[in-house]
Amino acid sequence: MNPNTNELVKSSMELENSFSSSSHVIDTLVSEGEPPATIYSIPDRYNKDTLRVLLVNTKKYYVYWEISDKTLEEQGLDLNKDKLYFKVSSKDGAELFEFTSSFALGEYFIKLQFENMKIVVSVGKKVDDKFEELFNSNKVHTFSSKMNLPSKEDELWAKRNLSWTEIVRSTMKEAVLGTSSAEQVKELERLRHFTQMEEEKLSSSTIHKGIKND
Amino acid sequence: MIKGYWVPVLHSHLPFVKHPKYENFLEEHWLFEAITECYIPLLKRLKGLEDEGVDFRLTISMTPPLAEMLDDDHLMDKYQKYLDKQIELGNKEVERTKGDEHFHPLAVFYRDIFIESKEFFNGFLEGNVLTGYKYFYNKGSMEVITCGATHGFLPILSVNVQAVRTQIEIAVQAHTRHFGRAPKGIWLPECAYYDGLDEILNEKGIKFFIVDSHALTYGRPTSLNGVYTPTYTPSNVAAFGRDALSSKQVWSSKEGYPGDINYRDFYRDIGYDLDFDYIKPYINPDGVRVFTGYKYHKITGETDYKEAYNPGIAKEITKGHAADFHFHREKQMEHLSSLMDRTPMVVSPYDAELFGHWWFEGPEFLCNMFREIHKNGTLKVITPIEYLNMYPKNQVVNPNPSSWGDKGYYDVWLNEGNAWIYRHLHEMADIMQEYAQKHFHTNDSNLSRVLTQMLRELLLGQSSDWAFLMTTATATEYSVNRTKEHISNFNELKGMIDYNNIDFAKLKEFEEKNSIFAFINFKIFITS
Repeated sequence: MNPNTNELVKSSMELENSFSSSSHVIDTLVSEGEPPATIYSIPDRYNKDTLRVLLVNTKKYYVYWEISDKTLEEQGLDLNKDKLYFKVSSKDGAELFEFTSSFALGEYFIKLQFENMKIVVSVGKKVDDKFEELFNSNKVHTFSSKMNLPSKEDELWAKRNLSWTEIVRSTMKEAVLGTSSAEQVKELERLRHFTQMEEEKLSSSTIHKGIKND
Repeated sequence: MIKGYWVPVLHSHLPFVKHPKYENFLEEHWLFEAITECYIPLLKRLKGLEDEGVDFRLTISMTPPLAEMLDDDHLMDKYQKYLDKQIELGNKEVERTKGDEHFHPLAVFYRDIFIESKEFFNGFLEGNVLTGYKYFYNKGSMEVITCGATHGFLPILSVNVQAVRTQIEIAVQAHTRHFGRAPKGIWLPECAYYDGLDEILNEKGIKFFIVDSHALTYGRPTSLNGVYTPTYTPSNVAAFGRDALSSKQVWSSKEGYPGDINYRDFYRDIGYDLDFDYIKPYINPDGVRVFTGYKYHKITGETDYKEAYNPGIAKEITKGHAADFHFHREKQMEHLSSLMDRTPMVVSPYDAELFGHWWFEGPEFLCNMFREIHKNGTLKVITPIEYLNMYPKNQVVNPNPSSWGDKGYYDVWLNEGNAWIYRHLHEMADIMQEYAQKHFHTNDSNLSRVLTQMLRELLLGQSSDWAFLMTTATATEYSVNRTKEHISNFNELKGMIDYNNIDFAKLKEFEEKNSIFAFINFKIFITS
């Protein structure tokens, strides 16, 4: 690892939040004329089962949903007296947050921090105080707001050319070209997810010792 | 000896705005102003640099909606009329200001800019601004990159992966049609990245993209060289991080160069300053006062008191600012070199429309920066691809989801004021997928037309500009209405299919107005 990484990262981040590029020039370019001649109508609802979670920032997530009439009927849900239960869970099933609603069509901004993980939202009803899932949302990988310095195992370098990619693990002590040692097979396994797209082009002969980055 | 590499990147984008029913539609002027104030001044000066023998490199994103508008006969006919009208106003101004030692030369100055713009547009550019970009692209001094098909905010669209694939696929196809070759790089709309996007970029042949610094510094793992070298994503696409320091020097209206008191003031404009009856033919037909481009004052200071602008003095100051920018980059590179085992690289992305529109002297500054680099020989200006060719070996980092918007995440495009649009955009994408799949093998050309127009309405509705403008409360009514228009049109077209009753007059009206991407077919939503 580069011993100056902390300083380089600090320098990279120094002014990042002191101003914003979102002050797009379009802001000053646009002006508005007469009121629009046509007023368009859009659907109030689609009557489809929908549940989606969207990232906003490191501490805010947007959830919207719609429960169709059919599902409400099939599930025997009367939202005049029953409630919908929403659960936010991590990929490994840990429950992170829950909220309720009495509306078949709604939205909710969750204001909590779930760092660097995959999350999913489920909607359900409670029967005998037990949560019964109706369906769940898309999965999203949340933001990270801190450095994730690589361990020796995680520090990977890749060398690209027009038609091939060479993966270089900085911690490999020696290059054993053209062999099929167990260690190298293991190494290749670890690299597999980094090379899926060009797996067919990767051979053991492309593994090199690499500690310099040029 | 080269101390470092500078990678300037300009992002050129405007949303697709076309109102064929109207002779004069204010929102179409966004394009006309950008052509006259930004694209032509830059291209003219780059041609000048080439004639001087100054070596330069500029990476420029040309978004598909902007390229489509610049290539649209209807809009370009209107642009010619716009120029004529501006020249007419200039002639009136030259007369009106006769005898005024400050304002008369300025009236002549602006009138001549419009005359020269017209000559350049019809001469070197052959009536199409894209000709200028192609010229430098083919020479190798410009790397033109693409963007999302309609600048859709990809992380939020990604709940339907085909929506993202289609945004990228159409962008690549549009770029290839406009420039005769596939793009090597992409400006991700709003620099917005989400986990897994790189896989799609790789599939579409994209070699690099630009991200905000925390995409790399908070990536998995952290980029060991910060933003001063690129990284590769797990799918082998290079990610270049934005350097905040060089951005701020140019971006910041208070601390940045554009705030110099001798530069032209953006807000004082005869569209607002002069007598209503005099200026009426040159503002919006409904009487709403607008910017005309005739701006006679310099920034002067922070109060309302403004003195007359002097273009000659301002031009000289751009040289000093370019020298200052060069000096600071040199110092920055020297510092970075001491921390790295390779020559550092600084990526400076800006909105292209900053240069010339808001910062009138911006194109002159940029070209003076190229002259400084050429003259001194201590920095080298390059493109991302040139860097990757020199340094093919880079760290593998999975970038952190991020954007270049306020606070660095997605707030600007998703908040309490604009969240309502996404329920509709997601539903439309799902319906598009369902209907495209269902009718994929249809031989009915009319059905095909309806489905293809549905796709255009979806794409136009996805433009991130509408959500952005709702947040900034600029042109809010237009943005809300445009979003609703595309949702409404999409559903009306869907109804034509559902009830097997095509309203051909309506279909034609939609096709003429929302005419973006004449080459597409609805099947692309499945095949992309």
